[in-house]
Amino acid sequence: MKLSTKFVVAAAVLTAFIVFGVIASAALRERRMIVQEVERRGVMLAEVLAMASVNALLSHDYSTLKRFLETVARDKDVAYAMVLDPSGVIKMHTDLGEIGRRADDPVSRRAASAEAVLVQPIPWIKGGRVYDVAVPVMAAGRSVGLLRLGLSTRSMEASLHRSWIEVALIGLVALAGGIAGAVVMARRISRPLGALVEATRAVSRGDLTWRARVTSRDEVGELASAFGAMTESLRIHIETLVRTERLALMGRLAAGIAHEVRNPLEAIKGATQVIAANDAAQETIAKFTRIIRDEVAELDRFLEGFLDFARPAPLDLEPVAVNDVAEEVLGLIGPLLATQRVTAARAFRERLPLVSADGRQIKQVLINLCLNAVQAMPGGGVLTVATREAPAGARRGVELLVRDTGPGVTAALREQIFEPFITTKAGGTGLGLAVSRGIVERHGGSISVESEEGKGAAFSVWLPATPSSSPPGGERAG
Amino acid sequence: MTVRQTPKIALGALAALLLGLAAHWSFPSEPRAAEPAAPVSVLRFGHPAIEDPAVTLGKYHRLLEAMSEAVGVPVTLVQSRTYAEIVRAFEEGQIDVGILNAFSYVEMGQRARLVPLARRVRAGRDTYQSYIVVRQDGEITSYDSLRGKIFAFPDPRSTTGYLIPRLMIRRHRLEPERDFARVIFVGKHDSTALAVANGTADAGAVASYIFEELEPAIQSKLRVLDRSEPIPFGPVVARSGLGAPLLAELRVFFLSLDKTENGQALLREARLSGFTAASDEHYAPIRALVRRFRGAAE
Repeated sequence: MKLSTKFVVAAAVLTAFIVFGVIASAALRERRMIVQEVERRGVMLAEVLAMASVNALLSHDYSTLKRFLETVARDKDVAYAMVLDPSGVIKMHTDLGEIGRRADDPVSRRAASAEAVLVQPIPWIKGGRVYDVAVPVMAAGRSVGLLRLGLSTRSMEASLHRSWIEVALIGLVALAGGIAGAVVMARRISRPLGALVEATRAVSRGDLTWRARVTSRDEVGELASAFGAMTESLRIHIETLVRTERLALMGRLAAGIAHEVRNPLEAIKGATQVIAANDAAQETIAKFTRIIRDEVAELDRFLEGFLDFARPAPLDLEPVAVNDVAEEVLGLIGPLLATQRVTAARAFRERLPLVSADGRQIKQVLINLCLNAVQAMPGGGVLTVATREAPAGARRGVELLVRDTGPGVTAALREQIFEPFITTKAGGTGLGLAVSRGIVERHGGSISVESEEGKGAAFSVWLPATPSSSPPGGERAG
Repeated sequence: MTVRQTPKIALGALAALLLGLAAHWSFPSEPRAAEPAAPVSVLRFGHPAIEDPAVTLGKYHRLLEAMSEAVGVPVTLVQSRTYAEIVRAFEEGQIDVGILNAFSYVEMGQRARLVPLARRVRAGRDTYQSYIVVRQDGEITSYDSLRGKIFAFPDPRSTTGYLIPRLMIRRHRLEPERDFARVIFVGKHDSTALAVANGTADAGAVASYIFEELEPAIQSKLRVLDRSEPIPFGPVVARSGLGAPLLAELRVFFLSLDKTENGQALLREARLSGFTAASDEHYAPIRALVRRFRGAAE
């Protein structure tokens, strides 16, 4: 769940809790108020009525009594009114059918035994609560009867229900307002966070110049500025690192070049000294001249390789079938394999997608890898060349695998094996794998090595497929 | 919201009660001598306490407004609490015109110089009856079982509420003072019916038309034990001192009420079907009954 959603839900729940708490407490208070109000009105009405009824009751003027009760019962809150004699017989009642009956239900018994005003709820009347208010009818200091009023809370409750609807509407508005406010707050919090997330993504993509535009002056703002400071210092560190690395590389290059150039030059220097000696025999001169020529050729060959590395040839891209390239390379090195007692094994997957590549350069990469493999197996072995389709993330591509059965590559060496002038071979320039990596990376591919010491090494080249490359199941690419 | 209207309702109820009390107690007590043929500034219309005064007011107030228009003099309704009160008010000249029951008319009509103007007609009849009522679920099924019971009369000067039922009871050889546990005077016919219904009394005497107008819920609690002979309704009377022209105007007003649509509407409100001509002779039978009653009593 998103942070903003959590915040909104929490705010909504809290608002609902508060709103309904207020409504509930208001409802409780209103209920108490209703009861008090009904009691107050009931007692007042009943006392007035009891006072007015004394004469009518004493003179048996029941029609007057009847009119009194009917008048009071016109009030919609009065459920009933009755006058009883001291023995409990209903002398007059707004429900005329009750006249002459003896009231002996529990409420009536309690009302009859009351010495003063008595208010009690009547449990058995449906549709709104009714409170029975009983007041003794007093004449000359003694009770000559009992006046009872039934006060219904129905109409008060009805108007209360209307006000509850208003309260509920207000509550809903408050709830909606609370949620809207929470949404706004959540946005204000989550938007800078979103910008920060975007910034971290940019950093992970390698873009260290991206800055989260967060101006809020809270913790998120602090976080954003700290994050900006962190990426800035990271950028400076990386630049320093790159510069240092580049300097080291240049040093290594210079040392490598010096090393490679010095030996032929020493040889040439020695040879010229021999030739320059006056007593040199014709035969000797011829021999050392040949040495000079060979050494110059060696220098030439080295410089050519170095130039390949330092100034790579431009790519001439075309759809290339990797299996064809591999087959061609194996054909080229076939005679060499035979002399080195190396057996070639092919594991080509069919129907590979075409790759977009400079075929000549890819061929050179494969030749380099194969020659390295053969040289890694001086006592003979098996050279395996395999191809397969291998997606890298969402991109289709083809993997080319060259495996030998030689001694393998040590872990320390694996880390820098693709750097220039790193070699284990006696006559190697240390440029082959560096050049190969340059070529593969310029194709948008990657090169890597896996090895276990004593169990050989496997070099893997991955090249992206052409965008229009036929899908699997299409024509055979080999 | 509800809180605010409370005192209003309570005050309304209080006001209604006080109004009821006012109607009840509004009898003027200031005595006034009758002055023959003096110009009349207001006509005071008297009505005996047959039923609840508010009911009577409802029945008559529009009819009295029409009467005021007809004779060109304001009319006020004066209701008594007892028959004795209205009789005294007529005697003392505190009432100019009004309805009197037959018993009171034959007792004091001539003495107070009252002129009968018209007789009431209800449901097409100019007579009514006295009912002796008991509780529907009670144990009284005959005059004999009235012995030892409580009997309610409206008023000792009522015709169908006292004179007639006393004679009916006597016909069965019962005397209230001797044979009944107690006799109570309730004041009004409808209260008498209610007193029987609510158990205050075991039996009572009620004018037939008052009984018929009772709510079904009350009527159903009662049973009519006996009905009297038809008795003429009491007359509308006026002080002879009002003068012949005004008396004639009043007589014409009452007798012509059922001739117009408006008049019929007013009559319907009063639960009457009309008024018919009245003279002293119409009450000769009642006079005879009174003599019989008095004779036996002494």
